[in-house]
Amino acid sequence: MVDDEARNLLSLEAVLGGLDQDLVRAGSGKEALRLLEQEDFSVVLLDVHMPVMDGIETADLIRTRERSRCTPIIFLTADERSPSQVSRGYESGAVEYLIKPFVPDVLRQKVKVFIELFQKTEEIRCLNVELRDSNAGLEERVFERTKDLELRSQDLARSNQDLAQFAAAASHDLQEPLRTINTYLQLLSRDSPERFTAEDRETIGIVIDSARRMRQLINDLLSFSQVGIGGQAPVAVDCGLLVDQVLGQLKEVIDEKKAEVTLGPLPALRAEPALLGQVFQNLIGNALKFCGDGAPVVRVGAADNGVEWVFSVADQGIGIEADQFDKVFKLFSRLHSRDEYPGNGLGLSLCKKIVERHAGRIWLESRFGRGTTFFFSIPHKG
Amino acid sequence: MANAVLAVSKEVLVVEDTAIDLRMILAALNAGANRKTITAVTDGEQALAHLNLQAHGAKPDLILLDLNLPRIDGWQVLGACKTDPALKAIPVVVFTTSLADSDVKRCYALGANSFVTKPYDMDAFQGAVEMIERYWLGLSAPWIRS
Repeated sequence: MVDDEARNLLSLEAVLGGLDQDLVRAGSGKEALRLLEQEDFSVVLLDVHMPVMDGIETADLIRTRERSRCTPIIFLTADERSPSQVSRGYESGAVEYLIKPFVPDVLRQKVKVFIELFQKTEEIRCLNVELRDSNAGLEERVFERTKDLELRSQDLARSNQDLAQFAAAASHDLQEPLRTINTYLQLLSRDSPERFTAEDRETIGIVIDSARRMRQLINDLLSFSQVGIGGQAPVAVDCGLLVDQVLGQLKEVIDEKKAEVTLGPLPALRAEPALLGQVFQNLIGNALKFCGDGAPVVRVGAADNGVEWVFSVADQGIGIEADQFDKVFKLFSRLHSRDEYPGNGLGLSLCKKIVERHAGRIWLESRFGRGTTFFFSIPHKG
Repeated sequence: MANAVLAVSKEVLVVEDTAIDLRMILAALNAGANRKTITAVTDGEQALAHLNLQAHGAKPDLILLDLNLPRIDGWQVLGACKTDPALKAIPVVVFTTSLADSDVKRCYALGANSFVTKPYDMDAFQGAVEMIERYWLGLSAPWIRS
């Protein structure tokens, strides 16, 4: 309440007392400005006619201060002509005017509206602050999470690298003593066979065989651990030639088992040839191995389904029971004893890893006792 | 001319710390047809000492080099040989258990003349050494200029 006449202030107080608000008096425009600097007000009741600094001048200054820029003002004037003059420049501001003498009830209602407006504005401001704080908190949490994830993925990359190096070193350091064991055993059994009984020689044979199996295991584990680490970039691979090469490596088994291996037309595609060759080698090798009593019959083929090449390696061997389908791809998993079929349970895990590295899938169809077909896909765009 | 070359005894430096491997290498080298003297050392330090001693005199005609050696390893010996003008012409065959691509690449980058992985099987092992002997000490060896 800004008025130079104490009497007017008193009557304002009397009218507004019932609103249960803090009523603050100011005897001049200057005092009003000082108070407005210190506190937020719901509304200013401003007498237009005051000495030194009149209400209009005061209002101009109120509007220039940051804190009171939006504080509603109700001008109180005795001059009926002044409203248009008073409201100039405040078109957008919260400005009202009342002609003195005012009707108490009207004044009270007007002030009440502004008080409510102020309270609502305060609420919104508080909500905004809360929202901003929680936004900031959220951003900070997201930032921290992202940083955490980055660190973790760096850790992961590093531990992958470590693992690969470890595997390479371990394979070398494990191979060397194994080769030494093997060489000494071979020397023993060869240089002086007469020193040993038949049983001794059998024992030595078992140790030599175990060492050989362990060597195979180390090599397979090494290839398994190396898939996807420091790999070569995919190149154009003629799968027909690749499979021919694989068959060359399997020639001994094929001849020994009098196997019949037929190849359908095979495509050229982009892949890591050394890895893809291992997939064919394992799948064809398995088809030759799990052949049952008859001579193995193996068909290798490929079909284009529009988005990917689907390769197949089919045999007419012993087959796999349906509830074992998933198990065959697990590391070290074997369905037969070593005496029945040799192997270390790594071959198909390796195939799976390699195919997945090429963004493909591997699966099988089988009828127990009738034969198995392994499928794997390589997408056109790898 | 051919007879004159044949008459010359070659020298092979074998750098190998595993006793059984050394034994097999020596047996295989001795079985080879080329006349030769063999010097065997069991670490890189001895290898370099032997080479430096001979730097201004007779040089070995072949170095058979293991990679994993105590103190100074095979890579260091290889690097030292191939950066020394007095030694760089000596053929170095790396003969190691390793079959890691990274080792192969690193050895060739350092200037190795050949990289042979020690075969697991005893016969194949000796066969590999005999092959190396025949090729690198033989008359048809490509580095011997008329």
